[in-house]
Amino acid sequence: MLNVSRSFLDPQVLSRLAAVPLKPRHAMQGNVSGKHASPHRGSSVEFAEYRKYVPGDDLRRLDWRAFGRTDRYYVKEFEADTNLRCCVVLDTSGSMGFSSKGMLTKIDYGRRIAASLAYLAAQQGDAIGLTTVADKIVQNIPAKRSASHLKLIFDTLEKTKPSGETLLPAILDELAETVRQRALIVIVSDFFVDPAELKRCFEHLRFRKHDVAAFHLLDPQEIEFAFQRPVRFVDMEGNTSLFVEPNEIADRYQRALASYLAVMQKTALETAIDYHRINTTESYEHPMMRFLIGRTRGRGVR
Amino acid sequence: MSFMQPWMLIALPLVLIPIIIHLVNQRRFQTVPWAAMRFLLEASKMSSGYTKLRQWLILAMRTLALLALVVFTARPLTSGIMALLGGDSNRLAIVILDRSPSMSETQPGARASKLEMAIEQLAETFATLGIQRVVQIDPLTSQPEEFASVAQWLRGTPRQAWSATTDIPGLMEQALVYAKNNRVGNTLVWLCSDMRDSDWKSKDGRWKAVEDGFRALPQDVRFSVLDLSSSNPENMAVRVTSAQRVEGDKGPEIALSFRIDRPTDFGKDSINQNGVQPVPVEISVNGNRSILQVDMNGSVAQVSDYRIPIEVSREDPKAARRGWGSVRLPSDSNPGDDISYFVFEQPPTRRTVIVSETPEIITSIELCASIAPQQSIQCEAELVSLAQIDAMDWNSIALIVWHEALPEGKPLELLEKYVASGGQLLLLPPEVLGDQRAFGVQWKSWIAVNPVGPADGATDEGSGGPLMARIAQWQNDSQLLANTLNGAPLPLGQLGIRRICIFDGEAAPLATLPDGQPILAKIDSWNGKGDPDVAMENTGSSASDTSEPLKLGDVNVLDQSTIPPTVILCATTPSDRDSTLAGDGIVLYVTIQRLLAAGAQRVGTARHAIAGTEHRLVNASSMLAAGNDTAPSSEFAMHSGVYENDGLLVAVHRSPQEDDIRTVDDAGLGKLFGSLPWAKIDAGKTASSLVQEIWRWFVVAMLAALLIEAILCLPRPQRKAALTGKAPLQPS
Repeated sequence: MLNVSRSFLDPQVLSRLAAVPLKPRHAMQGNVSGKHASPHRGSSVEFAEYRKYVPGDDLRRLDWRAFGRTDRYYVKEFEADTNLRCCVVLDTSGSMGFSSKGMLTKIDYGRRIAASLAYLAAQQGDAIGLTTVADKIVQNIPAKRSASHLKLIFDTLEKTKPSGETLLPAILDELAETVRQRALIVIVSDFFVDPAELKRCFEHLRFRKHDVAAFHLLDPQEIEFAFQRPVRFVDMEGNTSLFVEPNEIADRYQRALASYLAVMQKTALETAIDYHRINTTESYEHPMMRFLIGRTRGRGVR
Repeated sequence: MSFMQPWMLIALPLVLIPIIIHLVNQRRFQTVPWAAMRFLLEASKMSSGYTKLRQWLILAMRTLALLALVVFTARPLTSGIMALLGGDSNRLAIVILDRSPSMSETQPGARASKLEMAIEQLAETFATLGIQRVVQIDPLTSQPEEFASVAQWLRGTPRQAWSATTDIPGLMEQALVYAKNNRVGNTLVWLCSDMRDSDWKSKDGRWKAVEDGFRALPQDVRFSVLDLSSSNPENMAVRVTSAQRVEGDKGPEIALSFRIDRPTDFGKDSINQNGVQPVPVEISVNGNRSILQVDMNGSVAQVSDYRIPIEVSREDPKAARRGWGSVRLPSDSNPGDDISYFVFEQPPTRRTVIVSETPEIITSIELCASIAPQQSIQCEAELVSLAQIDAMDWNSIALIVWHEALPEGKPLELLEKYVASGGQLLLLPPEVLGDQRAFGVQWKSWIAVNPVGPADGATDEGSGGPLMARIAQWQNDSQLLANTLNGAPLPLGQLGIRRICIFDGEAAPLATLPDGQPILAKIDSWNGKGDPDVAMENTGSSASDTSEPLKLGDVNVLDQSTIPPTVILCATTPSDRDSTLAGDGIVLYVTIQRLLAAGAQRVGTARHAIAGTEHRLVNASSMLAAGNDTAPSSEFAMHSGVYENDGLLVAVHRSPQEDDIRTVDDAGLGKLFGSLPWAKIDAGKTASSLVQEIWRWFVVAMLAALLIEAILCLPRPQRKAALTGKAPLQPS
């Protein structure tokens, strides 16, 4: 199942990550039975509640012992276990092609995260889907559970090229409506869009009861802005360019970036998304491990 | 600012190096594809504020440091005016010193007079600039005087101001002549003056010639004016306007008139309850001193006809007949105008010689000439025939009235000598004219006057004779036909003229008929002859050219010294057949007496002179009776005082133009110098050099600029970087 020749897959990292299950933070609504909590009652061994019998209920689910004690009809309900639908949204806009000298581009980094998630989800029998987005939805692979589907996702990831503008908010709105409710939606992007727009999109996704996780990728050059000579910066998502004296503007750039990051942090808190800000100098294993471990702390709320 | 080594300024473009590096750096940019464009755009929209200012300050400091370095190596000098020097220390310095009385004033806060300060400042300046050759235009002789070194010039320059005005345009002419004749190289002409217009003579026509002359020179000549015009407003000046010996009830007395001037009114602190300022004036007559309190109200106080008895001593009885005195003010900032001298004597007999054979005319002239205007003056008239002329005592004659054919030969020579020595000559046309020419004129013919109209003409009511013409115009600003003491004009208009003799020659009309025919004319020079002093005075340096002529009567000491010896031509005679001069005798009498008063100068032995104008009367052979005893004898004529020479007692007065405190301002200087390069330096109150090397300031400026640049370039303290580390990147 695993094609080891994929450049974005590291078996050792995957084997370490596989030790930690991928769990949603909320009850998921899958197609088949699985390992994850469902919002519906089902046939698992885990007791959920008693409820009054109503005509039409399966008589086999009546709790005769309760009838004997109380002379009333109660139906005994159990929790349902279902599988997870994980949709990875990978930003493939032009800005994701940026990298410091000798570093991974942000899209390479995102590719690794997406591939790892896909592999982990597939390993535990969950459905995995992939949506690459830029100024529109570049490619949309719905969530499926089959092994061949994983291959399709890897192939797609491999072929993905960064280009176009980022119109993430509109696309997230579209995905919020098109993806069935209660899915795990993992967004991998540099989020160079208006935080207010993002907040609205996150709230939209949350409204649709999706479990939203965001990997915010930042290159060290973007953070440090360590330039000496005058530089003509060319926008990777358009033709605009800006000539600046780095010494003059660095201070203000840092202020603008800090302000943006602070707003992003606040947005994440307010919308209760699983937000991970990542410096691409860091190995992708660590944020992935933090992501997975953070989700094992409790069972998903139904 | 000027520089000792201006050629170093060719390195000035080096100051552009930081700017060029900045621009080159701007062009050596790298192109970077950038993802986080939104932050760059946001940052560029933020207020640049301090960051941009800091960048510009760094650039400015670097430029300033280089500029200071270049200027420092060029050895800068103080005073931007000195940029005129062009930094050429080999320039020749021509010095023109204003030694007018006002230059003896000590400026408030200064320890020496303006003249001394100017000399010391110039010497210091020359030493600073390394100037070796100095040429000074001697204001006395108007000749250039060369000095091999500044020290020699400093030793050889008199430091005393004198009492005469300085003829600055004349000195400029001499500087031009020197520069032209000696083919000097680049030259700087220094003019040290208190900018009085009386010295600069801004309306003098010679300035234009001076400008044209200097401009035509091939070498570079520049002018630097050392301005010493600041003055003490409380300085007072005294001037004796009249001193006359009169016989009083108790013996001989001096009738003294003088005036005290000051530029501004007294301050409130110094006036008394009556609103006047008492000024103690010391009056000295023949060494006897007395104090007179003069109440000064306003800026002028005038004392008229103050009588001082003359002490008659047995040891020196002559002192009662002739002597000298002075009027002295309390010492103030300008000692040069605190004292005024006068001389007096028993008025000499004013002797008139009449050369005529017409009894009617002789009678008229004799009457006018022999009746003295004052009791203390004696007048006499004498009839002399042509044959007796050689035997006359010419030295005792004040006026000659010539009513004969114009002289020629020996009589003409005698008359010319007489006129040249200050004698007054009145020419009347004879009945038989002759064809002789004397004093540049020749009688042509008698003509009857031609009245222009009934309004101008009048019949001789008494005799029923022909029509008469009236005098239409006369110069009441001339001394001869000036208004009377009470200001009323002479009644020339009442005179009736029946017949005139027209003449040929150059003479300045003093009174004319309606048809323009001159009745009275003045001859100043003839055939290139004439009094050289008269010619000089006519060029503009005479007191008679002042805009407000002094009209203080025939005893005015200034009038006595300023009426030039002239020949007066009258185109008619006092005969009834010719005019009513005799009948309306006032004009004839006043004219004769004024000519007598002027001519009496050559007769008397106590005379008044204006400083700088009477080199004949006062010269190196004169003996100083009173005055500046430190002045060299060659400059006696330039210093106020009393001098005795060849039996003459002469009081030299401060030039009356000095009472005019108007100064030449920058605009006026601009007009005078025209297109010549000039600049003005305000003189300080200390004798320090007008220029000083100030390279130290630029070293300090350079160091300061480098220090500031270093401080600005220091890396700013790192912000508590929330962005650079890993940990802060983790969401909380």
